[in-house]
Amino acid sequence: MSFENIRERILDAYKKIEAGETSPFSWDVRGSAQALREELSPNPDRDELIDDARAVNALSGIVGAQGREIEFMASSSILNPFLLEKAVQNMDLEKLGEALWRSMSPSVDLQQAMTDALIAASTWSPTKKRITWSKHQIKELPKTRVKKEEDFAKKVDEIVEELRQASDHGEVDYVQFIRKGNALERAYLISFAVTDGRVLLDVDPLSGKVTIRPSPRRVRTNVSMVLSLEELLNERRKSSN
Amino acid sequence: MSEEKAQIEEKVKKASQLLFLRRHRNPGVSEWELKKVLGSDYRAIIKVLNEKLDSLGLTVKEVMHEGKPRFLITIKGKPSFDLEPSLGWMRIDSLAALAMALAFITAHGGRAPPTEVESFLEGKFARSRVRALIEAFLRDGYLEVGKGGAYEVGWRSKAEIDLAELARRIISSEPRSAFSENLSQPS
Repeated sequence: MSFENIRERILDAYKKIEAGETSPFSWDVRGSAQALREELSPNPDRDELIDDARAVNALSGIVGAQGREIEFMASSSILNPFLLEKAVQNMDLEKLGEALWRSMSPSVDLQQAMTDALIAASTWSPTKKRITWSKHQIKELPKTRVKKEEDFAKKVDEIVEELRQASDHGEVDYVQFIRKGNALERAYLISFAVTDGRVLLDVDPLSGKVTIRPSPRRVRTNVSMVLSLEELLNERRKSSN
Repeated sequence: MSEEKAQIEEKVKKASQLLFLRRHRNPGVSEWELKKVLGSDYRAIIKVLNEKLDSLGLTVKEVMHEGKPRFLITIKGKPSFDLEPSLGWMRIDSLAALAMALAFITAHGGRAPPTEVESFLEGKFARSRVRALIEAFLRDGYLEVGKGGAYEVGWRSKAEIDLAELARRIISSEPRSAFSENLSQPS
């Protein structure tokens, strides 16, 4: 076998091992290293040295893959891979799902619409079908700082009080009310006041008009309502002109 | 309360907000984000947070993601037996598919060619469903594509799943055949 052939075969074996097609233990690393040493000419040129270095690098990669496999098999305590594969084939889906469920510690997190995400979402266009994220809009939490709970509560208190004065015990048009300032921020604050039961929200089934009014007593509630994106964008354009 | 203690309490609050609120596609936060908000002593803050979470049955786990440490909160131990097995978008059959993929990769030493993993799953699922499931597992970090193109156990599986326990549960559910008896008994 020629020297080029040995190097090519080592590189090919390394590729197959990295692709998971062959076990790293199927390759004779010691024998290949010996063959490379014996075949290298006494005065190798630059290209030959580069090719030799590539082959040696591939051999070290194979040794690395052997180490990773030993570490993986030791940490997963697999004594008989064949039996594991066979057992999976014989199990029904429900038992497999339950086996996984009882072997896991799921991650825990909260998913909440953040102001930045709401601003970005408002740029969604039905024709472009994409959200325009700008650097200004995507503020990392460390940059914006976590908003203090009392600051946010104070803002909700202020907007509820403003609504109380504006309504004078009656109803107020929702869209007109939120347009009096930063519409997105005001809508965001009102949504919390509604959830908290401090503001009542009504949607007229015929006209679709949305009205809000202060609640005489706090009743926690969940209200789902659909706001037309086109309408809101039109409102935004009108208010910016 | 001393000023130093108050500062630590403030940092623990920030750490919990960072770890609990998901702001990216993947759960958890990277090391640089924690360093930026909590300072270089972020590990000490995480340790204090971990002690507080312990009483709630939660823990902070560190896992390598794209070669860098990532921190996320997980349930400590296993979920309650009474809970119905489901995880986010994954219901029992999707969990079963993930169990199959992970068991196959585990049995092959931690990596396996995509075609072989997909073909193994096609033993129990339709081809189109296998494609969709594998894509979702890759997207959520439960599986990863290694540098040689092989499927590997993903960073999220390493954080959330006890592979040894999964293998033990699967093998112990197998009815003992004459073949497996012979394997386990010395001749």
